[in-house]
Amino acid sequence: MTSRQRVMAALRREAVDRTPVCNPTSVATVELMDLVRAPFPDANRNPEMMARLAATSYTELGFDSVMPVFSIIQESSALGCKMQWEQKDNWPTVRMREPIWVEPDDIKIPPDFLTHPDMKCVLDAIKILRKEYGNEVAIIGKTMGPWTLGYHCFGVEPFLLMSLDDPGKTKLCLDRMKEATVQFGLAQIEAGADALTLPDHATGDLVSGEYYKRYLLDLHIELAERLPAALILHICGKTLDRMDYIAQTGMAAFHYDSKNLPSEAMSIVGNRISLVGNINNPETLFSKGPETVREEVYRNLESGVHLVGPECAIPLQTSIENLKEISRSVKDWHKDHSTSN
Amino acid sequence: MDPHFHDISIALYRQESETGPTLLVHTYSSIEGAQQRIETLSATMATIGAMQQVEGAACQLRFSCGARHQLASRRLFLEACKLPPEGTSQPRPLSIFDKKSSANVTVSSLGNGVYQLSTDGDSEAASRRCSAITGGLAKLGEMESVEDGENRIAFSCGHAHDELTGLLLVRALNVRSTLREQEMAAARGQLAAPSAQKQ
Amino acid sequence: MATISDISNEFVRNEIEEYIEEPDERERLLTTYAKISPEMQEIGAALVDGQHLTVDELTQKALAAGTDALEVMDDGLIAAMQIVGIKFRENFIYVPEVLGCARAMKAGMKHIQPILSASGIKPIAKVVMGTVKGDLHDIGKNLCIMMLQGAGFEVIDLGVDTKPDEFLAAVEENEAPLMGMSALLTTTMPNMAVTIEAFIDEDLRDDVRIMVGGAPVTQEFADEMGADGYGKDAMECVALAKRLVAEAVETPG
Repeated sequence: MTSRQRVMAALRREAVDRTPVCNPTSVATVELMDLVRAPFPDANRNPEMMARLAATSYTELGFDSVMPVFSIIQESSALGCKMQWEQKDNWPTVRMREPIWVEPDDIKIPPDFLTHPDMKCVLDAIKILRKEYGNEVAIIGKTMGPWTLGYHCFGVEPFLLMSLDDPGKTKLCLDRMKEATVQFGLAQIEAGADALTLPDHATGDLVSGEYYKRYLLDLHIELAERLPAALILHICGKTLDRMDYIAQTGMAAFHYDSKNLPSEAMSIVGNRISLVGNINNPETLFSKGPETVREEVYRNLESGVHLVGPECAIPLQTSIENLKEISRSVKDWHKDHSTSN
Repeated sequence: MDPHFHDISIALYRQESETGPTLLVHTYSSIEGAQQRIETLSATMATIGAMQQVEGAACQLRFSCGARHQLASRRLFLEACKLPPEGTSQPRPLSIFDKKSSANVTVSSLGNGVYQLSTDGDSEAASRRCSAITGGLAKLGEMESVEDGENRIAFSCGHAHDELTGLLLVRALNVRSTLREQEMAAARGQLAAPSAQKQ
Repeated sequence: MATISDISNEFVRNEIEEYIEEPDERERLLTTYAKISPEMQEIGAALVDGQHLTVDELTQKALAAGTDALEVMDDGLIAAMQIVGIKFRENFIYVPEVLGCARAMKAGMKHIQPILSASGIKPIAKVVMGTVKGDLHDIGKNLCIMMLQGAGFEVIDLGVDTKPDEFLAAVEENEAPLMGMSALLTTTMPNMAVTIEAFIDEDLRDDVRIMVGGAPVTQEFADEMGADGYGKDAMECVALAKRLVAEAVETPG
């Protein structure tokens, strides 16, 4: 199987020759930036650099996917949010303390949304990757969900207070913002993306599982229907209490955090949605060595997780050696298990 | 990331060789001058930490004792990275002025990797600080307490590492958690009054 | 020993019965509330329920009636925040509800703060708080600040994206014995270690107790970088702050 076939099959829970190593969120590091001369912040704004850096997950690390959208700011930038572009060792961020919207009627998707430089950069990078790698590797794009856009554009505290004070208004805002999600998603599919990561940060560290059901379940079902590509929902933090709902969305996969045990996650979702994850970033990939990485990879494989990878965008100072260990470990595990069979 | 050279990323890798553990100073950057930068950095580590460069590998280092000295080597790397590449680097002395006790703390090498700390201050505070700094140094260097002497610690490899000790001494002044460990160890086995047990 | 029937306010009684499961905490709250006047319990009930307008109104009414500002703060607001903190820790409520309670607390404090400032009442200690360099998230920090203020600390809030030298300057300028750093991103967590390094380089590390927190931060990471403590949520932050300040008094430097 090619890497691309492997990833797409796993997203459909079909048979694979081995578990794919997949990165639905950023695997960019300062070492990889040095390797291909594509440092942040420029690699977030220049399509050639963006594609070059994204490709390293396949060419250097042995992953089966590439994902060029390293940060989570493109849509918010195009919608008019104020940005902080940072330096090489940090992702660009939205200045959420300077929100641009207060009321539902403030929500406007500008006519030049898709041609905004930060959006166009992603679309061009996907085209470059598709042209360069053809059918070899799965290209995963990224489109931010409306809950996260709410944080960015309304500010986190105001948005969460709105959700408490006025559920109707909140749902209206989400409904309007989801159009940005759809537009950008469709454009990336047209540019050549095989799948889309959909980060929508209704994390258990902030809101309840009931909140997910109330505000996002129906919306996510709709997004899965409207976006004609495999969707990989990403929510950080504790999410066991909402995984049953997530499994009902019709999305292809759920990218889950190390705060949730692989075995428990699998027992909840069953065969309704693929799981991607969940190697710990700050403690394992960033702080420990290859031995610990291998342990976590094996734990996921033994639980039957469909695609193995880091739990979230990895710390930029993560070592290449630890990242390479992920692919090595997956291959070794499969070799051992096919031998023992 | 190296602030002295275009923010290139430089990493210290642990490796095993036929002669024992080594450390590799490495960068993935290929910009002009990157290789020279890491060679200079390796040389600095060799000087201020008395490490040996592995023959034929300018950026691979080892301690002459053959031991790993993991925590200390990490600290050595970080301190070497902070130093500007131009100018000469020298090992740190084995004494330091402690502002808190207004006294000099001296580390004497007794041989076989054993070190004795002493203070020229004669107050209770100076004595307490000497003890705390000894603890700090032990923690930073992964050294063990030696029973036949107060404020006496030793590297488990049994070899002297004066340069490394001088480097770590600077930071040992600020390692407070050691004091808490000492208090806990001293308090073990003692009942605390109920009022002292409540938060 | 106080019992549930000693509490006059029905809402507060129900909150304690339903949500406070840990025996020590329950006993402590029962003892506290048994001594609190019905008027203060009413303020507390409104706070726990997130009714900021009611808290505003009742606080003003109590102060106008001559109730001591400190009593309104301690008995009306802070006691209620204990219930909120426990409910949050045990996942009975989440951040939106806590923000609602925080808003209610602020509504009461805006009338109390000027009175306390004028009366010269000393805080427990000063604490400098900030989100580290490169990180623009502050929700966790803000919750901690609110709880710390409620517990009697004077907080110097440096905001987000705080550089090491800004932490240094704030600690020195305010002679703060305590400092807290927050980070929400794994990319910015290393800046906690960088900041602690800066304190060591300036030979100021021993002058301040440093606590850390944030979603990706763990005890192990905190120990690794040389912090004095780690708090996994706002309640733990307050308990940690009190412990570290007590330590600072007992073992200076």
